Amino acid sequence: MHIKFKVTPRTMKKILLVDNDAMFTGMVSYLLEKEQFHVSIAKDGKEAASALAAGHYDLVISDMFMPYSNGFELLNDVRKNKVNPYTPVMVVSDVSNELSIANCFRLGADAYLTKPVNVPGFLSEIKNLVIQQENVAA
Amino acid sequence: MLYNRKMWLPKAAVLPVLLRTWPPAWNTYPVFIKICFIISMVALIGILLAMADIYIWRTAKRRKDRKKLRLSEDITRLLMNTVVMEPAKLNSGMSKAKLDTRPFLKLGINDKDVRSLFVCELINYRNYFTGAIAARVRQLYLDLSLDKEARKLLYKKNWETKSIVLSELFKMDIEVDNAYLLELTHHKNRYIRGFARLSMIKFTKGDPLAFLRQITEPISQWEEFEIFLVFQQKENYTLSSLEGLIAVDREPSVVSLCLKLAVYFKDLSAVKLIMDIIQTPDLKLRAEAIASLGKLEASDAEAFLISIYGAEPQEIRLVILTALGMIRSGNSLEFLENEFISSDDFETKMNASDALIKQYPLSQNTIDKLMNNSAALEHRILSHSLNPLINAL
Amino acid sequence: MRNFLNQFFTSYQNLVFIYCCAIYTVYAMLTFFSYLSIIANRRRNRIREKLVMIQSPLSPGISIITAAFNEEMTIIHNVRSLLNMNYPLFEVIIVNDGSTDQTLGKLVKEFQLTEVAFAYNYFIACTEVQQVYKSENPACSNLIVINKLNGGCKADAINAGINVSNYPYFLNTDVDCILDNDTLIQLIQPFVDDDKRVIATGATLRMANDCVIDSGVLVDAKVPTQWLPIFQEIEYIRSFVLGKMGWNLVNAIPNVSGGLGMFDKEIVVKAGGYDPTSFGEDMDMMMRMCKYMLETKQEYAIRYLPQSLCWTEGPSTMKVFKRQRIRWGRGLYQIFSSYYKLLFNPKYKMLGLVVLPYNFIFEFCAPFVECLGVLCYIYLIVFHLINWPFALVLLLFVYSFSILITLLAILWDQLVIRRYRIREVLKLCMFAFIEPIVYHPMVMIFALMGYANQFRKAKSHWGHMERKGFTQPKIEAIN
Repeated sequence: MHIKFKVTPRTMKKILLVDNDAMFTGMVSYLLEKEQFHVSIAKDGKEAASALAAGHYDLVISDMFMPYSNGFELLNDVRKNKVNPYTPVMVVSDVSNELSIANCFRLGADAYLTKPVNVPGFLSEIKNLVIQQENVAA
Repeated sequence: MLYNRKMWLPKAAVLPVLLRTWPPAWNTYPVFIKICFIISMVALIGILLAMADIYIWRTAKRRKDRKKLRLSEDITRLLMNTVVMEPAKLNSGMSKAKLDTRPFLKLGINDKDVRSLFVCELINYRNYFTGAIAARVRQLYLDLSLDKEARKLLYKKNWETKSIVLSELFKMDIEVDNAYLLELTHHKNRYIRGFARLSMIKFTKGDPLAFLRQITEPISQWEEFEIFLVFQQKENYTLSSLEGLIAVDREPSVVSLCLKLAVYFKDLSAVKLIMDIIQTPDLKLRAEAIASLGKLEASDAEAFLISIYGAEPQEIRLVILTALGMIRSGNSLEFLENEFISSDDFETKMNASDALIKQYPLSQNTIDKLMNNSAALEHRILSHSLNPLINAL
Repeated sequence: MRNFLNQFFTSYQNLVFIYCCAIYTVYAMLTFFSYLSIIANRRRNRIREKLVMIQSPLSPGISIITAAFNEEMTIIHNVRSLLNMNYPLFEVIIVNDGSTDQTLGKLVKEFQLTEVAFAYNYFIACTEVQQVYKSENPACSNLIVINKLNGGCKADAINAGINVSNYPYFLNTDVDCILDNDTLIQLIQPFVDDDKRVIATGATLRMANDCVIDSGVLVDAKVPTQWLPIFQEIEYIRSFVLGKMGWNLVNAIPNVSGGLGMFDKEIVVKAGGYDPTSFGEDMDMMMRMCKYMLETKQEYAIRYLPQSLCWTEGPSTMKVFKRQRIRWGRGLYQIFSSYYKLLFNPKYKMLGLVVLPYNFIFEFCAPFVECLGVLCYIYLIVFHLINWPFALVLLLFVYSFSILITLLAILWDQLVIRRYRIREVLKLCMFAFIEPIVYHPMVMIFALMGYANQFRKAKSHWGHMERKGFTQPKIEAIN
């Protein structure tokens, strides 16, 4: 009997992508997988909370608006996570309102990008955050 | 009408009598009864048609929605394979490589509904990403000659078609014949006017502000949002002089937009222009101008605002107090303290208190003094302003 | 005497017929107007991309103000769903209106609320505010909870909320309503994209009685299973989709529902805020806002959206339903006793010449006309004065036209929302056939009772809506 396993290499960094826009998450996960990241997708606040409780992530990329939750609550959940409260969080959203952006940083966001995002800048920011996290862990 | 002793009959005999007497009796019926009967028949037919229509329409719509979902999945898959490349390739010259349009032609984009869905998805892609991906999406749009079709539709009489097409070309960064666009900026339909103006501002070769100078009619708030976004999303853009735009004789909605632009781009050279329009009779514009001075932290305007304070109506005074707080120079502390103590108006006290708190730590001594010496209401107002939870917004 | 009665009832029957023709002409007109209005709304939605409101840093702030009285069962989920609105700048103000249960306690615990030394000013009069709470959790920094003494009505609570609101527009809703996540984006649009100054907007309300709700989010929309809420659903569809959308085209909307309405705060405050003595505080507020705008010679508009943005639990028992309709009857009576001077007054333009006369003649007077009409009918039958063939034709005319209007309303509704399954829509259509016989007489009787109560100025109270809660989704294993 031959059983197949899908194995995530230990060295692959794990990213949790939280957004209910399937088109956007599809594109972003394609780009990130080409950059050797392992991507998990949560399409609402409940799935995100379950994913965060179940596993460790090297980075969380989140939208501001989603069913059952919002970006602020997600940031709060990440920072209150007992296992790893220092997981870097990048918020990628259409919202360019200063108050919302300031509130995100107050809640502990590490980066905030407004759509439309520039892909090279987006990817380099992700890599910086993941490397920072590595250094902190070390 | 219902009362007619001669026509009275026991209930059980109604139908046979009706059948015996109709149709010859039809001509003897009063007009209103005939009208009611005809309307009832029409209504009964209408009921049957309405129910059938609900069922047929919903069934057809369900089939159409399923087809649309399948099509949407196909389009997404094709776009992912064609437009979205590996990041390394996106950064290189390979991003400009020719796109294979054959799979897209097989989708049937000549059909109006398919075309509409396809263009919608292209616009979504451009809403997500700038740079190489957005450029490739635009290239695909051009390679499929969708722009040619759009330009033809632009000359249709139907205003909805015109608006949608203008919006489409605007979002795909496709320029339209300037002369025709200029004509459309005076169209009687406000949606067409709005999109034409937006396109003029976006695609003007020179300074986009140049077109704003030509606008003499009011622009709606929605248009203001869209125009502001055009400026906000311009890469490496420096706002040129707003002279002539922030002026008393300009259309107030255009001035309002320019004030917002001045604040966003932190154009301190506009401070003098804003001060010149403060005496406008339009109170709403006056308030906005004063608020802009505050957001620009125009310390040069501080003395001027204090000098006009006494002569202004209450609503403007409140805005002046807020602006003084945002300027944060520490020069207005005494004035704010006097207003806080001497005014009987709750809102004046509140705004003065907020303005003092905003100038912390310069205002620390003033605040401490007021906290120690103030009466219950003033103390409460100061505590309110000092509380970071209340002013977290 | 007998002759006099015979003559009177004969003449009255003629009057009823003319009244009926007039009302049906208006309904036919509204049916046509509402269709045009819905098509115009669809066009606007195709042209205007809502993303602009989310992207723009200039989008105006909105305060969501809602009153809570003994809502411990659902308060947490409902507040959470309000905090998750898709809009860049808003605040949520919950007014705990003297609840005697754990409403406040649950809020304090769940959202980490702490009492703050709030300098509360009574811009609009309301009962005493005892405490104001803000959250220590930055994720809920836009939540304000006010604890006040019970004011006996929602109007008082909303006034208390308006006094602390920071933004130029506010959304008035009930805390038990389930709102669509895009409610704010949809309702603010007319305010920022209209030729006239819009002072209020509203949208369609629906029954949430048998819908599947999960943590304050509508998961699956279903037509109610109980007969009373089904009739109310049909009534709401006719009233909102046909009535309000029809009047929307000619800018003659009489009322923005208290269950869901967005208002220009400046105009509400200048008009004096909500009237706590009114049983129809929503319509009373609209009257005052319109009166203010007309008296200050400002052009204005009230706009309605056909989209279903709010789902509310309707009364499912006769006792609660009766209480609600009597209250509405009292409210309508109060409106006309307060604003009779505006009736047919050309100074008040559309309000005085169309809105109020229509509502007076065809809404307020309808129960009287119908009730007396039924009594006439009975008299004519008892004294064998009835012409049965004619009577049947007239009954058929009234019945068939009513059904047609209702079915057209349901059909127009399908142009806007397709969340119900086809068989559920057909179920609504079937109930439309029995509505004129079963439901409509009840509504008329309770309206008359409301008028009588108001006339006698009987003491009454809002009472408490008996919450049955919503259907929860089945829990599925997570893969």
